[in-house]
Amino acid sequence: MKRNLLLAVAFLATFTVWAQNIAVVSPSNETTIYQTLDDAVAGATNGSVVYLPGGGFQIKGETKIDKRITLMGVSHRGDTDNVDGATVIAGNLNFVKGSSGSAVIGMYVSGNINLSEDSIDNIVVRHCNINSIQIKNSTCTGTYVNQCYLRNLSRFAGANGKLSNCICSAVVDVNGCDILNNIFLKSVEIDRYRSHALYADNSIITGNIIVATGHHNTYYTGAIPSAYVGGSNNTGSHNMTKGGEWGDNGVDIGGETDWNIVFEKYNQGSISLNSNFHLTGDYKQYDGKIGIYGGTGFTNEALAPIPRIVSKKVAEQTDGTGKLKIEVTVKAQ
Amino acid sequence: MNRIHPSPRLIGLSLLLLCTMAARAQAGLEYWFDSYSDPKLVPMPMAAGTIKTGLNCTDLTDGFHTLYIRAKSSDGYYSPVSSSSFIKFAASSSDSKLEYWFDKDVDKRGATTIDIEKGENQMLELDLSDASVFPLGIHQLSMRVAAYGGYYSPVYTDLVMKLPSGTGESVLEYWFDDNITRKASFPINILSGDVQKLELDMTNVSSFPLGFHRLSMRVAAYGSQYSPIYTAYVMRLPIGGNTQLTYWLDDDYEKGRHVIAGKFGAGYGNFPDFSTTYFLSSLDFSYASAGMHRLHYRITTGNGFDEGVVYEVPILVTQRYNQQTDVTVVSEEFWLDEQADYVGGSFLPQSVVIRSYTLNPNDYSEGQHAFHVQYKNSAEVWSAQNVTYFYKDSATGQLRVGKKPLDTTDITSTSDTESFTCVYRDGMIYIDCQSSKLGKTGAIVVSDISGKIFARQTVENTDGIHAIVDVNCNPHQLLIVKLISNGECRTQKLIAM
Repeated sequence: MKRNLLLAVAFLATFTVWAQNIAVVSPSNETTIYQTLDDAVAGATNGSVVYLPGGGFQIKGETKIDKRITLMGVSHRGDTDNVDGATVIAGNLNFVKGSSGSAVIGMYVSGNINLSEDSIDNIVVRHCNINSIQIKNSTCTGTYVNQCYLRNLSRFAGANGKLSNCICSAVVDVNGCDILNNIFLKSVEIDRYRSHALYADNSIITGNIIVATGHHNTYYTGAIPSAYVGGSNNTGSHNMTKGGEWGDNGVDIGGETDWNIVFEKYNQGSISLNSNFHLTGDYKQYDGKIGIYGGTGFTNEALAPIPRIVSKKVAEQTDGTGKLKIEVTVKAQ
Repeated sequence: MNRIHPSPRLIGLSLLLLCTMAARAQAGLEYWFDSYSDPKLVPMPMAAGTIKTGLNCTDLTDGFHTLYIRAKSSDGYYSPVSSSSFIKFAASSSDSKLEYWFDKDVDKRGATTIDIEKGENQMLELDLSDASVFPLGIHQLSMRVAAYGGYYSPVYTDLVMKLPSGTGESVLEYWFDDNITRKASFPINILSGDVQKLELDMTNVSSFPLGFHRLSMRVAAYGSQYSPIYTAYVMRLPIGGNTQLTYWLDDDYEKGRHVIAGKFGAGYGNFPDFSTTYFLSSLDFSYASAGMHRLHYRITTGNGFDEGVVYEVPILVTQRYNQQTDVTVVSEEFWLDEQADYVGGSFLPQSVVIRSYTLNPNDYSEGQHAFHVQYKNSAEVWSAQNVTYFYKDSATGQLRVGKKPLDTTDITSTSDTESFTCVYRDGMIYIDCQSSKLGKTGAIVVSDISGKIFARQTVENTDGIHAIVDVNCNPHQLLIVKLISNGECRTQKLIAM
C-alpha cells in the first residue's frame, strides 16, 4: 500500500528583511548600493571598490569573482572602535579568470580564498582573518598575503608570491616566494608521506618563527629535508626555531625551552586574537626584528586603510522644526 | 635557479587601483535617505572629527525612514555605509497631545489632546475604545507625547491584543520554535471588542530548553476565530544566585558586550531553581547596523564564577522603525538530504505560506532523511533553511517525522563514574555520566580538533546526565566531546563512524 506523508511547513513572512548596504564605487567614482554580497560582486565593474560595513555577509558557493575588484571591509576584529563591529564573510571567496589584481582587505572570512585553475596574478590579501589560501595553479604569480591570520593549511600549488607578517597554521607548496617575518604554528599532514608547517622550494625565508617541526614517514623515498622547512633550494636568515638552526644567523631557543616563555602569550599556539606573539624575556631583543613585528610590521588593530565611523547618535524622530539631529564621529586610517 | 620574483610593481596594482580614484575631494559626511540618490555632503574641515548637525527632512513624507551615512576622505576613500532609522513627523501644532499608532502604521496615527501644564507630571490614560480599525490579535502599540512648542517625547512601545465582538471563552496560545503541536494557552479576560495590554507570564514554561527561541503567539477568540500569528525572539535563562546575561554581536566582545545582572533573581539565592524568559527585543542592539549578525550570549549562574558556555545564533537586526511592511514570500526551494538539485518554484506573493509536500516511502531507503526548504521574499532575500527530519521505519515501511530513535540497548555505561559513556551513532551522540560530582545542570559541547563547534546542549542532572546530541558533521570526523558541569570539564574523543 502506498503511504504518503504530508509535511506541512508553515512559514511566516513576519520576519523582517533589511540587509546591510554595500556600496560599490566604480573607477569613475559612481556609487551603487547593493543588499547582498553576491549582487555587489555581480554588479561591480573592473576596478570597483566594494565597501563592506561591519556585520555578517553570506556569499554563495557559485559566486565567482571574475573581474578586478577590491573587497574592502573595516576590520576582522570586533574590538575595534568601528561603530558596526567587524566585517565577517560566511563562505569562500572564489577568484577566477579575469580577477587578476584584485584585493581583499580588512575582513574575517569563514572559508578560504580560492584561486582557481586559471592563471590569476597579483591577488592582494591584507589585514584579514581567513581559513586558508588555496591556489590551484602553479602559474598564478605575485600573490601577496600580508598581516593576516591563516587559520588552517594553505596550499600554493607551486605558485610564487610574497607572504609577510602573517600568523599561519601551515603553508605548503610555495615556490619562488619571499617568506618574511611570519609565524608558523602547526605541522599539518600535507600528504601521506609528510607533515610540515612550512614547505617551500626556491624561496627566500627570513625573519620567521617556525614553531612546529615537520617529519617524513618511512614510506618517503626522497632526500629527507629539514624538519623546519620542507622543500629544497631555499635560502634565508634570522629565523627562530627550537632545537636547531635553519639558514644563516638562525636563533635557536634550545630544545628544552618552552614557547610559553618566548612569547608574551603563546596560548598553546592558538591562531586567535587572544594570543600575543610579541617576543619577551631573553628573546625581547629580537622583537621587531624576527616574527610578525619585524620587517614591515604588524598592526594589531587590523584596520582597513579607509575612514571609519566610530560613533553615531541619530535622533529617533525629527524635531519640531522638521530636522533630524545627528552626531557622528569619524576617524581616519 | 628557477626562481621567479614577484614584481613589487605588479603586487602593488591592487592598491594602486584605489589610488586611481584619489582625486582631491571635499572631506565630510555623506548622507541620503531610504535609497541611494542625490547624496548630500556635510563638509568636515579635518579628515577626522565629530559632526553635530541637524539634517533637513522637510522633503520626506511622514513616517518611517532610514538615514544612511558614510564618511568621505579628501583623497576619495569612503567608509562603509552605516544606517539608522527614524520617524519623520509633520510640523508640530501648538496643542499638547498623545499620539499613538499600531504596528508600523505611523501615518494612520490617532491623537488625544492632553490638558497638561508645563512641568506637570500626569498619568497617561489612552482611550482605545475607538481602535476599531485594526484587526483581531496581537499588535505593537507605539505612543509619544507631542508637547506644545514642538517638543516630542521618545516613542514608547508595548504589545497589546484585541478581541473581536463575540461571546464565549478566548485564550492566548503560544508555542516555541514553530512547534505548534506543543502549544500552550491560557484564558484571557478582555471585554468583547476591547484592547488590552499583553501580559505573558512564562515563568512556568519548563518544557522548552534553555537558550534562544522563536516565540509565536496568537489569540483564539470564542473557539472559532484566530488572529494572525505574532512572533518574537526570546531567551530562556536559568536562575541562580547572581545570574547575569552577557551578550554581544559578532566578535565585538570587548566593545559591544552588554551585561544584564541581577534581573533574574539576584539576592534570592534561596529560591528554588526555576527559569524565566527574556524578550530579545529588550536587548540593546542600537549600536548595530541593520542586517545579519551573529549574537553571542553567555549566562553566568550560581556563585558568579561559572563562566557559562557561549552560545551563538544568527540574528537579523531590523532596527525599530525601518521594517518594510510590504515584504511577501514569492518563491521557494526544497531538496532532500544533501541532494544538490534544488526543486522549487514561484508563487503569488503572499504574507503567509502554508505548503504541503508529498513524499512517497517507496522512494526512500530505510533510515534517516532530511527535508530542506527555504523561501525567498520580494526583497530577494532567502530565509533560513527549515529542516524537517524524517525516517523510514524498517518494521512498517512508513515514513515518520523526526529523528530515528537511537537504539541504546547495546550500549553499556562505563564503570568509571568520573568519566562518561560517549557513543556516536546515526548522526547522534549518546552521552551518559553517573558521577556524584555533577552539578544540577551541565553543558555538552561537541567540536572538532580545530575548535569548530558542531553542537552545544544544556542538560539537567536527573540521577546522572543522560543526553542524545544531534551532530551534523562529516563522516569519519574526529570529534571532541566535552561534558561541563559543576566547574569540571570531562573530555572524550571519538570518530563519527
